[in-house]
Amino acid sequence: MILNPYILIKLSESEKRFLIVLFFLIVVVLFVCGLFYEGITRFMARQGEDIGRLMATQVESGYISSLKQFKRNSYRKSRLEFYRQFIKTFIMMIIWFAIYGTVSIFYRHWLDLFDYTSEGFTTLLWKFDYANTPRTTFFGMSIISDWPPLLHKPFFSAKAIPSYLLAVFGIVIIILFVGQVLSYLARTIFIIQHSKKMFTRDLRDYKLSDLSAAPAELQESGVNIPEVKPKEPLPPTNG
Amino acid sequence: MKGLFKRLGQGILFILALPFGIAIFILFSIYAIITFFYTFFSAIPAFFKGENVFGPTELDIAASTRLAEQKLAAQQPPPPPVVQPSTTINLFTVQQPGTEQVPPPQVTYTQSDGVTYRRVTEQEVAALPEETIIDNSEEQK
Repeated sequence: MILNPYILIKLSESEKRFLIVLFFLIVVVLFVCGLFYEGITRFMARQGEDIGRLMATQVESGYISSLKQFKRNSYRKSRLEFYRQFIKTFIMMIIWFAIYGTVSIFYRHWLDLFDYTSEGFTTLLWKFDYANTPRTTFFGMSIISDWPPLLHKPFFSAKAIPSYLLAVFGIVIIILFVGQVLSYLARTIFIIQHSKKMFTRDLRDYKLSDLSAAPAELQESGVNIPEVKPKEPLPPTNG
Repeated sequence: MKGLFKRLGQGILFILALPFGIAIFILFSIYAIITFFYTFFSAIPAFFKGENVFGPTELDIAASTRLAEQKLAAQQPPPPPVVQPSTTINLFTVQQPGTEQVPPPQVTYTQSDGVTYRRVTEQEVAALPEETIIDNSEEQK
């Protein structure tokens, strides 16, 4: 007796629609993640090649003669490049904290940036009650079946204006910090990966017996020429 | 379609590698901040000594100088070729009309300084006045 699997799996119409939506949702999430992967890979590759700009003068002049010397100089250059980039972000961070402290002095308490009722930047966002998210049982698993209940709708609060500005400023600082650390990481990876290639030579295809480009006297000297056995005379063949 | 599957594969890879990536990023961020403060605090005593930590090192200056010299040497025109002193010999024959005997070829010598000497015949020597002829045989005696 052959069992038809379609008999075993009985899906209601809503479950079928749910499965289709779930499938497309997974595809979209994977696609967006793929775009992120591609973007980060390209960004890091471009930033890693920045070592070429930093070390070009020293390498082209011929003063770099060993792997150790190259690594020491390139790590130093990379560190100083990170310092040059990050010093601006660091000053921005200090300014951010200074503004935050000043606003808190005026408010007479530490400003709560995540307060969604009056003074935080989350007053402009939706607030969901994630703890009471509706769930349903699907093939024995408890999964989310609907949007969570809405606790708060976005509204503009004059008291939260410093929070809005600080939030935008903070996001810019975070993006700069992440980009600069990723650049530093990419340069370090580039040095580790590519520095050895500069001082090693691939000898897999190198033929010691190939003297075609050598001078004539060296070719006639017999140096490095493989021994060739004299051909034995072939026995005469009839016809 | 192939590109779409490749992108979805990259997405799966991204999701799988994300926790490790975040961990590496956080650790490296700590390292980067430590190196930042190390550079910052090492620059303070150097500043009071009159040194510049962020300026070019001696190696940078030497490398730049060498590259500039190489560039300058490449821009200069090559030296003119050395001209060796040479002698040009022109041989040509002048056919005299009405004579059966072929005259000897007229030979001229042109030195590198531009002076041209011509080989003379016996008749031309005989036609010269005696005062102009210097006999070396008498001096040798």
